[in-house]
Amino acid sequence: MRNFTPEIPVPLSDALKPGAEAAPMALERLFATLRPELLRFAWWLARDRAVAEDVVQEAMLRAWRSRDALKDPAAARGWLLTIVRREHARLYERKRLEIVDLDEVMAAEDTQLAADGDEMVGLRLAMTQLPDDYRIPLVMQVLGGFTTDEIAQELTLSTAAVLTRLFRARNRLRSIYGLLPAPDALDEPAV
Amino acid sequence: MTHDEARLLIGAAPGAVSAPLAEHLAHCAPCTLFQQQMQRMDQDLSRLFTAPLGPRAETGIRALPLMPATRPRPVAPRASGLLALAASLVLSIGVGIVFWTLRPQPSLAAGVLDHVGHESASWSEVAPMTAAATSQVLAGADVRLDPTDTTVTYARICLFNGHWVPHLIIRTAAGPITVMVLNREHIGARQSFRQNGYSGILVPAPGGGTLAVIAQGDADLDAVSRALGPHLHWTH
Repeated sequence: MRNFTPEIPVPLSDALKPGAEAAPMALERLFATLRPELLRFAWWLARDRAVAEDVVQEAMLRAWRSRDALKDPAAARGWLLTIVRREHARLYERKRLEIVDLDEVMAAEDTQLAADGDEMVGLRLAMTQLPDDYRIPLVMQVLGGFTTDEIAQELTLSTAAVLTRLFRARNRLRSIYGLLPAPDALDEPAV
Repeated sequence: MTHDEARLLIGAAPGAVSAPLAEHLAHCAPCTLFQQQMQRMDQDLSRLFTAPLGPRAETGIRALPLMPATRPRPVAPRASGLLALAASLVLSIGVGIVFWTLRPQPSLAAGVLDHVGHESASWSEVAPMTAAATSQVLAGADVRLDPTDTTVTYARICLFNGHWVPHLIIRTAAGPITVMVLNREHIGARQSFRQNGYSGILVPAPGGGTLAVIAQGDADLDAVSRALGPHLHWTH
């Protein structure tokens, strides 16, 4: 995973120790710093703002409860993204989800990208319509910065299966650019 | 390393170049182009993923609340209030029906012609596509085409009315003919139209949805729809 150290006013190594006086404030700052990114990550997993906010809120609560597990402050971002990813998966296992037309989401949320032209709007629509098996590894890789090995471990897949899914995800998006998909005669490796 | 192996690695991680892949790329222009295209896509994906989220939308995939929301206890209205409520309800429904009936109807035919006009370069494609390449494209829109004698010279997945639909050009004795597979559009009966030198028909597809068949000038469009329609299947 890309090494990313958020700008945090209080050294996490001190602040994250349970019981330390500065810990609550430092964690709050850490969460506040990373929250927009965690929210974007959760949105691209869930494709819904309300669900993403629930996921991030729950993830932060879990992160606070298990703060002992974070040994290396520099790994805070990846640690939190992993918690968000797991919380999203847990939500899907726990709750019955009502699926409604994603196009309404697009209509509601595309104003931001409209200025970028049809290609970006098309890319966004195509991304939201990618099946979970393809979208989630791609989001983890591009937005989360996870390596293929880390994605494989997190999703309990083989690395070869992750490579195939990432290839297929991007291959499906090629049509946005008016490009033909590359030949795909691959059998997905066993997980 | 084969081209397929190289493209798998590039597609999986466009920014990562191992030594064997670098060696392959040094001698393979098509794979180098593929890598450049994928890297550009990743730049766009990064931009997309880091764009601020829009305002909170109360649509999409939504978790049902675990607990029912607490609602204030309704206050029993008086009889006169009930009558007024019923009257306003009837009035609202009536007004709604009038507006619904008179709302402007977007023309599917006009949308198809507009789309075809924007993709006019497609008509000039003459080289036949392989069945495998055509299948690859159609799969992107969850459509499968049985093996047929039809010669496809162009196949793309296009955004039409908010959905990804196959856009094909079929070579016929009368010239190229466009076929769009509109699996989200439903019509009751065959419609024909003619505008700006194009002639076209919309027909209900055997598998559901609508087939749009368009030619430049006159052609037996029904023959194309009959030849192709039964061989198109939705895979989802």
